[in-house]
Amino acid sequence: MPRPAEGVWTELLVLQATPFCNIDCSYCYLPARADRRRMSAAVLDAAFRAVLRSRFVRDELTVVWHAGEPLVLPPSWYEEAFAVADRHRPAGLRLRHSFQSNGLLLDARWADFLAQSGAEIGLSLDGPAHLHDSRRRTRGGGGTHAQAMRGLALLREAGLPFHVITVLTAASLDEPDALFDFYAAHGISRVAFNVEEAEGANARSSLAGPAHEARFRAFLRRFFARMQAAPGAIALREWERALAVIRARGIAPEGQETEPLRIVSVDVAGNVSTFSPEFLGLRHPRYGDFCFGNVLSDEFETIAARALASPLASDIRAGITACERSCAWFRYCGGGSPSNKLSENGSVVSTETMFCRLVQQALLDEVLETIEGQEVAA
Amino acid sequence: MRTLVALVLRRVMVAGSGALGLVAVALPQAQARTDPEALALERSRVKLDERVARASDLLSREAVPPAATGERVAQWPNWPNYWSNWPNWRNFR
Repeated sequence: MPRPAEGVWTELLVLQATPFCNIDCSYCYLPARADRRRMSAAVLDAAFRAVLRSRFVRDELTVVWHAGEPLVLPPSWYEEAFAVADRHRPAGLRLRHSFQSNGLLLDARWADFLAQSGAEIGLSLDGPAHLHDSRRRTRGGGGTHAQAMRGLALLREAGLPFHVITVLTAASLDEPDALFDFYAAHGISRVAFNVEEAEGANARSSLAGPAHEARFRAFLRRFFARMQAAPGAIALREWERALAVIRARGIAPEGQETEPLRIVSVDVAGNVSTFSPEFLGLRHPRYGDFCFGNVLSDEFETIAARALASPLASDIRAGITACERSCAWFRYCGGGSPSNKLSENGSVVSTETMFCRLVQQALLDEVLETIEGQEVAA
Repeated sequence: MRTLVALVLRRVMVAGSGALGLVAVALPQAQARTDPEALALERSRVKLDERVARASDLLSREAVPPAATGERVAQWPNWPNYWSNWPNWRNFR
């Protein structure tokens, strides 16, 4: 067993089983979602061997199958993939597999596979049909809500646990009640909000511009009020993250996306990137293709050494230092997302982004307001 | 004699490093006092830290009962490592 690494470790492995997606959401940042390649057995084996046996893995690792619609490949493909992972898994390492899916291809075979393997699944659902279908469409322009809801029903009938991720767009901000009612009506008890971001293939977010911050705050206030009126009905990731930060009076000044190798992303061809997973598939004059090697041709130690000594790593660190010097929220944020900084500000050596203003600042502020309001009411 | 010289030198060094330390602390503070932008930032930091500390106290004293806030984290496995309980990558679509 190699000696464990100090200070540098890997906790999330993002694997791109295929870049292909069976739908064509208008806010998607993935540049190659028409590419039908699938990860070869050789890449799969090399990826698990490289990462699972590296000295950067500690006692737990989450494998997320995403960066394309993972359910495009059949359960039998994943049975083999999970077996390969198990072959390379050191004794004592807890391995969790997780899918994030649009749910359209869920069927009885998938339900059986999820139940037997214990893999976790999250559905991407933007709420009621009129919100969901306005952005989550087929290549022909049709809606996908009805099919996604069939997938949801199947998970519920099978008694499988799941979470839902909702992408908040400008249109969603007017409808906190519709969203809450939708979750409550369909037995959705674990929800995460991801704001629409300008990244990769999605050059502009519908939430860009100062007017949306006030709308976002009003949305949160109303949604929190509904949560309090129905205690325990919905667990919201953003609310709970804020509570954890408040309880701890800050967070560790290091994030998954800002520390090298904390997230390792491997694309369909075996190319390895780190920091923000969205970097895979992008090109940049200074950082090239954001990849530090390939699992088929490079030792993972070599890939890791390149990542650690890269201009991208030092620039991200400089960006975090700039955040620390200039932002009152730094203690509660840790320095933002490098891919957001690059997309919105043109450089990772930069500070505030729309994501910071909405999901760090406005969110924490509104949670604090809610807690302060509870105290007054008590 | 040598011991005496060494002792005096050490005292001078300790005093010197202490003075340097004081300068290192005092300089940014003085800068913050004179730079309006730095001053505003420091005020925002202090105000936010105070709000968070107060809210943290309220949560720990259960002045805000968990049930009233909808907080269910503690019921989930692996708490307090709550990051592992959520799809953490903010950019899932």
